[in-house]
Amino acid sequence: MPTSVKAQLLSVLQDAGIAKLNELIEREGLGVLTRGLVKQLYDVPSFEDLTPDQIAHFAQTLEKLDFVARQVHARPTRKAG
Amino acid sequence: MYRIEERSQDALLGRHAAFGAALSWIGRTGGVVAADETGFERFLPWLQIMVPAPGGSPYLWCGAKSPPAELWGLELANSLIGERAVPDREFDRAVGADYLRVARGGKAIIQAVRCPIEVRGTVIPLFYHRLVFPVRFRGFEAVGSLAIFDVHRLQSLG
Repeated sequence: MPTSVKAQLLSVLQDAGIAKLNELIEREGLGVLTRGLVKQLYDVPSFEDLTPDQIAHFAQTLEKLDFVARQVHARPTRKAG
Repeated sequence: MYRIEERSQDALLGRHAAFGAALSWIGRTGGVVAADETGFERFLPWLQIMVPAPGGSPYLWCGAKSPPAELWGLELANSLIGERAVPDREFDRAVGADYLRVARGGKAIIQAVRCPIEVRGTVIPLFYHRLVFPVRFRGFEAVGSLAIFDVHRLQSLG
């Protein structure tokens, strides 16, 4: 893969990862888990310390978290009575 | 074969510092993570967090010092996010049955567990205590399981 194409792809993944990260923190309150994952998966103190490749990998984990959260919201609520 | 017995809070006191930190946090917050994230992070490495569901409870978190990480390694523990079971399905069904009970009841339970588990083709006996409790995020509720093998009794959080 040409270097410029790879750089563009990583840039897209970084943007998507940051967008998903913000969504999980703001919508679901999962900031404590996403911070914990950065430390546990990559042994760095914060998201800003990840390399582009790590961000691309992290974005996949965030998608899994998001998938689980959306399944919860999709469940039918029990009617009273 | 699987022996899971209810215990009182006294059974956890002095057993491991993570239990003390978790009990204190639950007492202060009622399981609401946003109420004290720093306190929650103190025992997060030992914790497993699942979203209870009748067909299996997918993982939200599996800490680096939790039983799956200890039995199968950190790589497996990290790969459990979004998955519904650890590699031993029979074990998973037996110990996972109470996640729904805790989610529906909204109250923590404490248990002593004795059971066999298959790890890479070898069946080994496990003895551990666990604290299973509601974990309330902003968007939804989950269940945390703080399980620590009895061989680690009296260890600190360090």
